[in-house]
Amino acid sequence: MNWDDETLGAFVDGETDAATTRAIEAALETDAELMARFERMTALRGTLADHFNPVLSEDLPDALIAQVRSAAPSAPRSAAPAAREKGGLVARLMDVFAPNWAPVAAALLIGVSVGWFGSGSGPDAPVTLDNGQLVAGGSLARLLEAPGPAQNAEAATQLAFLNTDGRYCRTFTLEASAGIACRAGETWQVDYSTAAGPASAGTIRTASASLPLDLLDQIDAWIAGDPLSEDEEAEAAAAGWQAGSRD
Amino acid sequence: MGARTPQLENEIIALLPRLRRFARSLARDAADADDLVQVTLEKALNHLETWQTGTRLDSWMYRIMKNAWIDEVRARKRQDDRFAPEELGEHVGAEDPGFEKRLRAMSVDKAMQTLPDEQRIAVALVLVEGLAYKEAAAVLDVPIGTLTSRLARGRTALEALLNPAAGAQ
Repeated sequence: MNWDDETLGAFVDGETDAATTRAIEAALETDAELMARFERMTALRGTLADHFNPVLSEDLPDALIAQVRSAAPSAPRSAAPAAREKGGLVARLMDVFAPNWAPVAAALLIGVSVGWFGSGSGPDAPVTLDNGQLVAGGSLARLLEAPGPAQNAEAATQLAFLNTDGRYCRTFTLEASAGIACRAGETWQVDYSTAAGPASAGTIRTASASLPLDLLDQIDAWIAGDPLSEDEEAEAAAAGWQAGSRD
Repeated sequence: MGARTPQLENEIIALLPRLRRFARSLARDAADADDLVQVTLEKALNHLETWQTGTRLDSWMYRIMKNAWIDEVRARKRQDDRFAPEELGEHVGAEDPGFEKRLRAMSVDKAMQTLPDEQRIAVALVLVEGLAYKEAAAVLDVPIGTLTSRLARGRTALEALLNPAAGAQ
């Protein structure tokens, strides 16, 4: 009998039923090739155990224990809310319209889209205010239309997913902010924004993408299923990011 | 529904060594691994209401970590791919004379990083964390057959990477 890798692996892992276990044990007595494969699999388990098990006896970092013991139950430990006040898209838009929202209301009243980010304003600004909604524009909108991750001088896109409303949403970073834009008709509404960048607490360090923790939490809250694969993103982009009609 | 109590905090702290080990087998270095543990703890502590008392706390936390890792990896890897499409061994040709030597010397960490994520996670849960197939499949939300197939492919790849001379073909 020729035992396949899955079955032999299950035997090594103690997952075979009694009859299979007995049959393989018997075969090991006579089948040198099977024995060699068995030994390689056992050795691999040993190699992995030798490599990773020492972690178990390391001293726990105080920061992790403190995190669990933190006095305020369920209060986000991360500095993101404070950072958002300073650096988030909404906050920065508000800064532009400081000291209050009255000019925004005025802009809305006259039906004007206002735009802002970094280097300029006008129709090509990466974020505009349209009927009270923050909407991606200009180079950011073009990035969001394209499938897959993309990047230009000021913005980048990372994940795409379907939200529980059946709309496509994408994460982006824009200068020192990060956000989630969800498809609404032909536009991308900026439904969530927060501070990003190396200074943001609770962010996993990465080579090129830093999605803040609170943004990942927001994805978890909105996502239906898994993030799109690259193929799924390509299909979605080809269909203009219009999800199938759902009730 | 889990409420935050000192007892539950103790249970979570008791799980930390295993969570750190799981993270170490997923992430590319120890610093990334502890960042992943930190993110996992934050998510778990903020969403204790989604843990059903009486179900396995470890499986629940492994699942949170797995999800956090997939989010992270998808975001990061796709960007990396864009700038370094010829990363890792897949694209290294046999005509490269140093290839086999480097393979032979490949560390366990490097070999693990070479695996596709779904295989690495399966290997980590079963071969490193020692979960039963049924538990690992539940953490991954896949049928047991899918788990065993990822596991077998991951094993074969690791054997070839760590011990190429043995001629697992």
